[in-house]
Parts: sequence; structure tokens; C-alpha cells
Amino acid sequence: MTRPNRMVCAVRGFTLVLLLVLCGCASYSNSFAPIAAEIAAQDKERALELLAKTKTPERNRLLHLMDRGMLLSMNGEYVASSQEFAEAKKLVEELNALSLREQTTALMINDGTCSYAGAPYEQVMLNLYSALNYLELGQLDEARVEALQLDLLLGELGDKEVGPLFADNPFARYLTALIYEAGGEWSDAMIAYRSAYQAYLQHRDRYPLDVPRQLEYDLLRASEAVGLIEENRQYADDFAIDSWQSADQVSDHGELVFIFHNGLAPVKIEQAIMVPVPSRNLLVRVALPAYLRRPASFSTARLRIGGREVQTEAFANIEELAIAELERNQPAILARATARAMLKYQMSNKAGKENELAGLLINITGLLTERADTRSWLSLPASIQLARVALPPGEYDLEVELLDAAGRPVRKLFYPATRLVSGRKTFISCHEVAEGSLLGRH
Amino acid sequence: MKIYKISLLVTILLAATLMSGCSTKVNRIAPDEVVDLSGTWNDTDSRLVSEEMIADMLERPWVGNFRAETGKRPAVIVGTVRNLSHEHINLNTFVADMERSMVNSGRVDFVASSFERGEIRDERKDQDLHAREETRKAMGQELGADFMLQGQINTIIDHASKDQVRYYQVDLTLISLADNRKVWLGQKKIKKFVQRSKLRY
Repeated sequence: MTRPNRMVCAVRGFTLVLLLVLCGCASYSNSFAPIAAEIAAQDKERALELLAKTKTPERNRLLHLMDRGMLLSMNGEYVASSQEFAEAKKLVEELNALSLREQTTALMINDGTCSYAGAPYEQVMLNLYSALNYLELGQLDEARVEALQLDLLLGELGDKEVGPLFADNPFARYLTALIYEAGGEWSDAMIAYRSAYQAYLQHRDRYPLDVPRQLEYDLLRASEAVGLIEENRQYADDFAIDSWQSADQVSDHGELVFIFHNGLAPVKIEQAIMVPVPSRNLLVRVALPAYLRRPASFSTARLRIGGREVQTEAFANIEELAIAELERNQPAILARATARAMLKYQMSNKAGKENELAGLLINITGLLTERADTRSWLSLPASIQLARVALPPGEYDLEVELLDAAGRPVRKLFYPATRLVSGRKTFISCHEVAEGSLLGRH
Repeated sequence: MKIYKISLLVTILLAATLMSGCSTKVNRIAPDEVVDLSGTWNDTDSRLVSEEMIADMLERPWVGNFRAETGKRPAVIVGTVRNLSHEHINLNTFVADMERSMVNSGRVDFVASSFERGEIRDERKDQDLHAREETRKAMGQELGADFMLQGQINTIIDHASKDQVRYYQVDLTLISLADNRKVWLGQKKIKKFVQRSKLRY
């Protein structure tokens, strides 16, 4: 009678200890919630403080750098933000090499024990946000460096067979086009606008993101500027547009490029499912990541400048892109998780034959350590919107209203004395999150 | 007791070996030693390119021609050097390296850049008000440059899986300020083959 009792006590004690240990490593997405709340409350300083206080294990260093870079950029500290992004890019390069040690640990314990190397679309976003920082600082040549790196990265991703959706990023192409156009490099801009158009067509088939109306006008202007008459005529027919501002007309004016980063990217949660293993007549429990969409923060932004009223258009849908990325990876994640569950089962079975207690302990440990990898870049916006306005050079007061789904203005932003210089582009970015948008939904 | 002592000793030894791996190591190296870490543009590239190109520039006939025509040493100013490459390059060190090579050669006069001139002019204005008559430097006595040096850095990057060829081309042009004549064109190329590791710890 005494022996089984002691055994039960030991198992209970061990389970309790394990549970306590695991509670400490609650899923990554949970740890970001307080920071997201501060962003929504428009206190970016406090969000930065909270981020500095969170303990980050070495394997999550990339996430920390990306979040810090993003928060610094939101707070207007563009130089510091670019430094974080540069560090993050270097880390991604290092993590591209395979670690056999980490792969083995991942197979034994769970996927979350690997160093986080960033999804392909997140790697693209690193360069993209870095470029936006430089544009905000008015350093066009530095932004051009990022544009060239983006071209290179998208080329590399194309070689890696990450799937058609992730090999090309329409907004990244569009931004490079904008940078080339700002530097007067019309032929490069034309090529990039064309690539952006192709990418939008490709992405449009997979998730809700249309070819922006603005891009259609840009294609007409750029093809006209470089003298591609046939292509220009084709675009005019396809888009049913018969008049547009020529490159010369725009260059007499100063142009405002307003980029609105809307809301926050979706969060990953853990979902446990039972998977049958027919060859062994077994049912194993595996934990898989799943995305939780957040309610949309704002529908659009309305700009008032120099007597003109313009609304922003959606140029990137990061939420849907992230969800598509996970869907693409899910079979591989499931296969790994099933293999892991089988391995854990065999280990506990083998140990159980020699010692019942040991077998039980290994079984419990195996079940408790089966956690889904819920890491992702959480400070990214859910979508990116953009509007361009060309006006005679001068100083303008820019008024921005963020609209809710019903079209009512719910938040107002004011940019006094915004300078537009003839032949130049002035870039302004803003990232806003509505407070009611933090609760996820399936 | 004995076992306790031995285990303590082993623990301390183990801790010592583990700790030694954690300390930062610093080795001093000469500034002209070539250390290639990541394959990107580094101090060695900046120094070699600027020294070689300026040495080439000063050997060419335009210096002698200018002296023969005017009897003066040519005065040169550095304009903008644009970075059109794939990397964020620190152009300040590159321009400073070029300026140093030029000034130290003694073959040309060198005029402060527009950024530096601003501060000097402010100082002269200040002297006008506050300095003693005999030490005061008059305005309008600056040396006008005869030539301006402009340039750009370009790159072409070719890649296949983990291997990369990085090709840098630095072009410098010396232009006569009097008549827009290009008197010297310099070009320097660097090619690097970078193999990125496929495995890590």
C-alpha cells in the first residue's frame, strides 16, 4: 500500500513543479499584450519602457529587435530605429544557417526552442520599415540603399521557393518605385511600378487586396515619362483612365506621401488537436499555432491639405499575408509535431517497461512540453494604407481624420507647417491603433 | 568529508572553465591590417580606394598643365560623393581619407568644404565684433577653388544560394569650376567573393 502512494505523491509533486516552470514561459503572444495596450493608449514611451523590462531569451532576440525598432519608429526616433533594424537584419543573416543542435532540441521538446529567424514577409518588412525611417528623415540616398537591398532580398526569396505569395511583396515593390521616382530615376521606377502591379495581381487572387487606384495613375505617368507609348496606351485602356498628371506637372509641385499604418498584426495562439497515427493505431495530441484576427482599428484615413480632401487606399494587408504564411507552413508544422509526439510516446513506452514511474514521468513531461510556437512580429500593423497629394510648393497644415467602419471620424491628427518643396516628395508616416481592437477573434 | 572536498574542487574547476568562455577577448591590431568579417564595405576598402585613387589623380598631367598655365598650384574642393550601393557606407571616413591624401601630398591646395566654411565664416563675423584690429581676419579673402571632385560608389551583387559576389565600383571625377571641363576621371574596382556559412552552433 505504501509504495504506490509514494509513487503517486512523487508524480504529483513533479507535475506541480513542471506546471510552475511552464507557466513561467507563457506563450510569446501573451507577453506582448501589455505593450499593445500602451500603443493603443497612444503612450509609445511607456510601451518602450515595458519592452525594455521584458526579459528576452537569446532565441527571441530578433523579435525584441524588431519590436524595439518599430516602437522607436512610432515614437519618431528614426535614427535609433534604423540601428535596431540594421542589427535585426544582421541577425537574420546569421540565423539563415542551419543549427543541428536547435533542430534536435525542437524535435525533442517543441518548435519554440529554436531561434526565431523571421518569416519571409517579416524579413521584407525589416527593409521596408528601415527605408521608411530614412524617407521620414529626408535621407533619400540611404532609403535607396534599402530599396536596393529589398530588390536583392525579393530576388533571393524568389530562388528559395517560398511560394508565389511570399516571393514577391507588392507594397515593397511599390515603395522602391517611389524611392526611385523621388530620385528622378524614371526607368528604375517604371520597372518597379510594373513589378508592383504584377505582384498586386498575384496577391489579389489569394486574399482581399486590390490593385490600388493610385498605382494605376503611377503606371500611366511612369510609362509616359520613359516613352513606353504602347504600354502606356494599354494601361489607359485597361484602367479606363483618360487623363492624368504628367511627370513634369508633378515635378513642378511638391508631393506629400502619407503612409498610414493601421492597427496591429494578428496574434498566434495555441490549439491542441488529436492526430491519428494509422500505422500504430494511435491517437496523439499535438499543439499547433493558429492566428487570431484582431478587429480592424480604423477603416481609412482622410487627409485635408491645401483645400484638398483625399482618402488613403489599402496598399498592404499584413494580416492576411501572415495568415496565408501560416497556412502554407501548417503541413510541415503538423508533420514535425506528429513525429515529435510519436518519439515522446516511444520513449515513455520504453522507459515504462523498465520502470512504471519513469515511464509515467516521461509521458507527463512529453505532454506538458508540447507547446505550439506562437512567435511572430506583433508590432507590425494589420494593414498599410497610402495617399499621395501633389500641391504647389509651400507650407501647409495637414489635418488627418481616422475613420471607423461607419465612416465617422474617431481620431484626429494634426501636422502643422508641413513643407512641400518643388520636385521633392515629403514622406509622413503614422501608426495608430484603436483601443477596442486588441481582443482577437477567429 | 573527503568526497565533499573532491566534489567541491570539481565544481569550482567546472565553473572556472565555463566562465572563461564568457569573458570578452580583445586583441589590438594595426589599423592597416586587413580583417574581413562580413564581406561588406569596410575600413580597408575605404582607405585603399581613397589612397590609390588620389595618388593616381595627382600623377596625371592636369596638375602640370594648370601650373604651366597659371603659375599656381590648383585649389581643389570635395563636392558630393553619392552612395548608390546596396550598403549603408560611411562616406565621412572615405571623404576624410581622400582629403588627407590630397593635403599631405603638397601638390594641390585644398579648400574647406561648404559645411566647414559655414563655421569659419561665423568665426570671422565674430572676430569682426570682438577681436583686436591687428588679429582680425578680413572677410572676402577666401581662396576660390579651381576644381571640384565629385563621385559615386556603385555595386553589383550576384548571388546563388549562400554564395555572393560583391562588386564595387568607385568613380571619381575632377571638374574645372571655370569651364565645366572634366580634367580627370578615376575608377577603382573591388570584387569580393563571400561564402556564407550553411551551419551554425
